[in-house]
Amino acid sequence: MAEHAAPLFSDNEWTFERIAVITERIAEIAESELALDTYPNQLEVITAEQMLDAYASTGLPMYYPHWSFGKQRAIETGQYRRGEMGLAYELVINSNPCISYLMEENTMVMQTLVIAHAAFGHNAFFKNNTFFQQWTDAEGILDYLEFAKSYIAHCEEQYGIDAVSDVIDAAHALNRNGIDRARRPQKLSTREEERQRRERAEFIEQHLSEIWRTVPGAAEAVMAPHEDRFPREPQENLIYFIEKNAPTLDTWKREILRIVRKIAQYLYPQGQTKIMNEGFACFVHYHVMHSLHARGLIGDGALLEFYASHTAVTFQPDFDSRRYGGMNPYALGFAIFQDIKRVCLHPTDEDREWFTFAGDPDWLKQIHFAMREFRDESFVLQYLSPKVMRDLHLFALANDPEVESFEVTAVHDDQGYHYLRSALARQIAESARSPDIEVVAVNRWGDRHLHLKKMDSYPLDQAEAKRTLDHVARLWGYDVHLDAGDVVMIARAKAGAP
Amino acid sequence: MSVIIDRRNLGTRSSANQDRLQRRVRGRVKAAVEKLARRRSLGDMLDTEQPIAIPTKDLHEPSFRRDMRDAAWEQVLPGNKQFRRGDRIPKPQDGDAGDGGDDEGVGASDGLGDDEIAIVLSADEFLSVLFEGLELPNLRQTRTEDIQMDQWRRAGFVKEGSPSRMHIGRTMRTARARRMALRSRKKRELEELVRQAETLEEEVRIRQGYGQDTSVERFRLDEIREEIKVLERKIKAIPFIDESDLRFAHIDQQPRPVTSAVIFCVMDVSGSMGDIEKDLAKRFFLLLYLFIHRQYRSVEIVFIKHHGEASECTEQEFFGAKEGGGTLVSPALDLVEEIIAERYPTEHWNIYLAQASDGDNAQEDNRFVQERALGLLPQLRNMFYIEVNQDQESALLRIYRTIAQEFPELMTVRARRTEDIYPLFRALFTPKAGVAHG
Repeated sequence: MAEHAAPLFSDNEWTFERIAVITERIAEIAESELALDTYPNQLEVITAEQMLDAYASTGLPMYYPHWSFGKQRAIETGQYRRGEMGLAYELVINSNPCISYLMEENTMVMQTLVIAHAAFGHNAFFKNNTFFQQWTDAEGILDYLEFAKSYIAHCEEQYGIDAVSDVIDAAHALNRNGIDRARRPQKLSTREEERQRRERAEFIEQHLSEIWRTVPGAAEAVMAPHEDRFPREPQENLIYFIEKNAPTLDTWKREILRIVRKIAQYLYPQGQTKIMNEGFACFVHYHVMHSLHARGLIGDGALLEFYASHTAVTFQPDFDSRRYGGMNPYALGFAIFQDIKRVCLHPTDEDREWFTFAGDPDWLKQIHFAMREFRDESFVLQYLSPKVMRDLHLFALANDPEVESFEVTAVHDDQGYHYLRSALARQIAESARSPDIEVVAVNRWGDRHLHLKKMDSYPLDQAEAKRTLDHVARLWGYDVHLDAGDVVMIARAKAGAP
Repeated sequence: MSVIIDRRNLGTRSSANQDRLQRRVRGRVKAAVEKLARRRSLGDMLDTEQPIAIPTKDLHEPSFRRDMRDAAWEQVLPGNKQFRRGDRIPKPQDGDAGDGGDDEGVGASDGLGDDEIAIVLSADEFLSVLFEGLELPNLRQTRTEDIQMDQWRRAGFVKEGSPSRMHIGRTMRTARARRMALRSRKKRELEELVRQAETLEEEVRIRQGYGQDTSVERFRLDEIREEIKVLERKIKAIPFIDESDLRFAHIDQQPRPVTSAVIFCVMDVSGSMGDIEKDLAKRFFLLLYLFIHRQYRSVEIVFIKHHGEASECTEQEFFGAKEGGGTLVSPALDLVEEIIAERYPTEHWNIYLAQASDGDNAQEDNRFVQERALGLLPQLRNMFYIEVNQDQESALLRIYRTIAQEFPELMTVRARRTEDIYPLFRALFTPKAGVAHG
């Protein structure tokens, strides 16, 4: 590589030619210096308005229409117009090819940064992280979204926009309780999906009534209810359970539940790997930008502009700052990935004590391993070092509702490191999880009521739970009970609701 | 490896979501639009996009969430300055220091504290909400030959068109006809040849029986058999469907007869009309004008302003009028009558008259007004009289009220304040149960 190559651009205006050239150079660096294995890239130049669209639909390039996305967009447009929110300069989709959005307002330096960050950093993460590999299907997602959109359009035409919206409202309310955490989802494919849909529809129509064949009342006396435990095990996936077992739900409504559930499942790993995913993408862009500069392909001014946005993105405000909004995943993730490299190349005695890989000259191998094999919770548990804890001045605070004051349970010192690390890992795991509500029983031979139970120990927001239960009852068609620990809530089904 | 695509010209894809959002909060939007219509000037409202604030609680999306307010929790925070392990920190008073664990789900939280969102209506959406459910009363189908609106209609079948319009039934029928036509001639030929071949074979057999030479016959037979083969191949080769069979449903713009209607807008612009009264009157006519323009594209509007004398004018002159002088109402009604006689024969037109005035009229003219009104009313579907007057009811209004007892199609209302106009307008044009319309 020529040491004194002329910079590829100096006036900071982006053009398609420049983007093409810089992408080629970045690809070369990503491969030769970082050994990144990526999906083919599809870079799409979009307007700010289109970026707001993409925001409103969780970044998906296509979605069925729903008022909540309109609401989301209205909120974000307002914030954007009032200047309260800058648009993220990148948005990337876990698909093959990997689609990254470049906003037309960006300068050329920003486009370069976005390409390095999203089209190579996130892209490699999507393709190689085990969790993503197992839980999402980058090949099938675009087709599936297409199928979902056209199916729902078809339903709107046939049953009316309001009826479809009611089902989606209810499904969205259960969105975070519609995830299979233990079972890997099947691959998605449009044609297969359509064929399966038909089969399911037929099957359900033929067999569903069998579960409910017994006439309530007449049968009650005959059957011994306690012998008929259904479901046999508590079920955590509420949407799935309702989709398969709701007594009177129309087939198309079941299909909509399935669509919402599948998309939630696809998005699930993103919430579980936010710190790692952003951290790794920052690590990649940081390396790439420096490498471009070292090769003379971008000038000093470009590097300075890059630093300005890089530090803004990876800045962690203190807990008592007005800008504090929780742990910044970019900051924490980037700090840990940079630290892994440091521990390999310049280990201290402390590092050797904490990490078996300390001093391994092949830092790239360690980075790849970390990127592939973990999710946020285990990543923090494995790699958060005393140095990073000191740099961030981490401390742990405990609240006991019975006591008048908070207690500082650990700080960044020798006694506190282990404690802090596991507390942070636990916190990350908990915050990514919704309350654990499971189906424990259905009174199949009697009133057909559905019984839910809260399985974790955290208190439930009761007003929210009540409204959510109403949605459940609307889908289930019969009364729904929720045992929330200290209180039992009941949502009555309206006659003829489903 | 990398593809770069310019998507900027693709536009936004949020309109479907936006539609559904507006649908969801229709009640709120309607109330807000009506409120705007009462206060602001209509010109202002139509100039820009209309942001309407909707409380987010109307759009709440519930889910199972934790409530950490009274729970025990532990949290790792960045930015420790002086704390040591075991330190106690007093709790903040409002006690809202949750663990933030659940705020990333659905909803508008994210700590931004906004409890309202803005829904932006275009001028068109604004008007459609504003005039929802209103219609011209007593509209009747008049001339059917009158052409006023184009409409897409099916118009037979054509040989070219877009694939989406292909008519399968027609196409198959044509294909069958073609196959039959082509085949039958060839089949006839074929039958003929087969018969010939059979005759020849018979001949060959007989000649052979007599020990005669059969080479000529056999040669001919071979020829015929070859022809048969070709013909059979040709019959087989007739395509099941040919491009010439394709038929497409044709659609064409056809004129649709629509009810003809004309509205006379009669406004008092005399000196007695103060700024407030003029504003009230113009507000009413502007609403009427927008309403007619939007809902009844082909309805004609005639503008008449009057003080001591009356004149027909353009809409600009009408809405921009700033005149003075004394008031005579009857010349305006005379002019209406003249124009009707000249241009709008009653057997062909639904005729409406909307009149706004402060009621001020020369005492001696009221008698003429009564006469003219009685003469006009049988020709009108409806007459609306809106009195914009801050003091007391005028003699004119009383005259009209008396007439209205006999002619219910004369409707009178009285507006005192800007806020009155829109509700009065709605009241006049809301279809009444039991009244035939359409």
